[in-house]
Amino acid sequence: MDSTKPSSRSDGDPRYAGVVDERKRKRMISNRDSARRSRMKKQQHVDGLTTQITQLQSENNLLADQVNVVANMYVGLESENNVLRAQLAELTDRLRSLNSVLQIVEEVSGLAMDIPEIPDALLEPWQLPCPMQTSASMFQC
Amino acid sequence: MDRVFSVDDMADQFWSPAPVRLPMTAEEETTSSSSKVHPTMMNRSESEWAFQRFLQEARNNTTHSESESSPSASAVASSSAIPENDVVEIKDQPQPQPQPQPRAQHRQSTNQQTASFNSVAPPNVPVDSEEYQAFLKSRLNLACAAVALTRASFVKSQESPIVADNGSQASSTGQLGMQALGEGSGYGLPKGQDKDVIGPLGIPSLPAMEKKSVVQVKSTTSGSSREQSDDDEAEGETETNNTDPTDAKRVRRMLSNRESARRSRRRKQAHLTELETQVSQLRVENSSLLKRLSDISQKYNESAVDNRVLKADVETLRAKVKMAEETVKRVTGLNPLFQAMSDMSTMSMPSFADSPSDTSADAAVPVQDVPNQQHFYQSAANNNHMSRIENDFVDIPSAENEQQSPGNKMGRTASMQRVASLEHLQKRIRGDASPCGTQCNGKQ
Repeated sequence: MDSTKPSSRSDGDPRYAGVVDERKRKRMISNRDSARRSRMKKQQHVDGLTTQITQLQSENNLLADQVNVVANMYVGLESENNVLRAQLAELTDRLRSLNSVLQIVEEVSGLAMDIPEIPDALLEPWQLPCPMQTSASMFQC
Repeated sequence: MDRVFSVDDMADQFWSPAPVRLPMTAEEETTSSSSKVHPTMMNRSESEWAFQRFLQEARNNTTHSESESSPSASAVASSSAIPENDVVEIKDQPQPQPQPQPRAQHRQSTNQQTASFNSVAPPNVPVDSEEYQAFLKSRLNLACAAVALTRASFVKSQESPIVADNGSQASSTGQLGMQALGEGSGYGLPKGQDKDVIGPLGIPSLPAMEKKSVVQVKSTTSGSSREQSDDDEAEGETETNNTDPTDAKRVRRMLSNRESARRSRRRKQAHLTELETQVSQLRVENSSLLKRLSDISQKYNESAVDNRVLKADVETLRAKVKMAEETVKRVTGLNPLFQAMSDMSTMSMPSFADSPSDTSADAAVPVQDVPNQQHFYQSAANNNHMSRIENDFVDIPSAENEQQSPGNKMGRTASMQRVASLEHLQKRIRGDASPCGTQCNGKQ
């Protein structure tokens, strides 16, 4: 602010000069205050940003860890499922063979045999053991 | 009070009376000197006056002291009277006063001149003093010559500073003028100073204007280029007076400060923008991580459900298989003949049980080789898993058939098994009771 500009009417009566100076002084003070306020605000803004950054960084790390943990659990579980599916397949085969044996016996001996039927649940599509998904591929998607 | 003379008085006194005195005759000397002398030099005229009186007395007294002391000393003594106030005058005359050289000279020169005049004019001087006067005169002339010489040099040395002073005053006024004009006029200055003043003045004023405009136009991009140029032309406006170097330094410091301020502002701004980009980047990363986390947890839940379902199925199947086996046993139980066959069937059963688990184990292993090394430990866990299940699996059939060691690796495939059991049935039906179970085993 170019407050040093000599006001044209200052050579009037002294009272007027006083007023002008007063006004100038007031303006200078207000400017100083507003400058200080704006500096404070800017500083706060910067501080806010830095805190946000640290916060976000920690949160991200946390999330990354969680993702890893769950991924591992998922892989473990998935493998177990595959094993179970394989067992299921085996049992089904075994049952089927036993049933066939029983049926023959039934025919031969004429005795009524209760042949446990193979639960059709086994035949459901998801039964087919899907190749175990490697966790690496999971991370890529 | 007159004892101490300020340099100016002395100089003025020296300066003004010298030319005046020579053409004057003795009588007018006192009056003329006073009249000639500027009104401001009243005190000097008084001292002149006192001097005059002193001289006359000195001349009377020194006639006696003159003969004893050496010629030069006496000259100094006689002429080195000091212009004291009246009361002190008489007492001091005989002792030689330790005088600063220049002052003594002044006194000496004026003294001599007045003395020579007096000696000529006043008739009432006693006779015996004549030889003395002749002697005095000769010495006076000698002294006069010496004094003239010294005076000339003295005057010259005084002159230059005076001029210099005058010059500086002129220049200071000039400087004000120049600042107002903003141009290097340097009027009335000694040649040497003039030249370098104008030079620096000219250059800095131009770039200063130019810089201001440039700054307004391109505040950031030109920053780096401005820095280099500012550093080397940090001459800045230099005043012309002898405080030149300090002003130049001051201005240079001001320019460099301005430059560093600009640099620091730019750095701060860059820092702020960097912070902002970092925050947004982290936000994006954060959201992507969240999404991935939700995806994978969902998958995990699904597989958990599968797991439970599978486990249930396996349990039911096992139960069924057991049931089936029991019925088969029952059937064989009815007919003791079939006892062997039941052993055989149970035997085949476990082997049957083994091979599938083997195959599944094999199946599991190749599949795991495909996943990368990272999950090695999982596959290991998986194997343990497999072996545990295998044991469960075998336990059930082995409950009926202790001999069958779980480790017995039968290479036969499932179908082969089934064929074998069918053969047993047919043989049994044909009534051939031979325990072919063991043979089959041996054959294969």
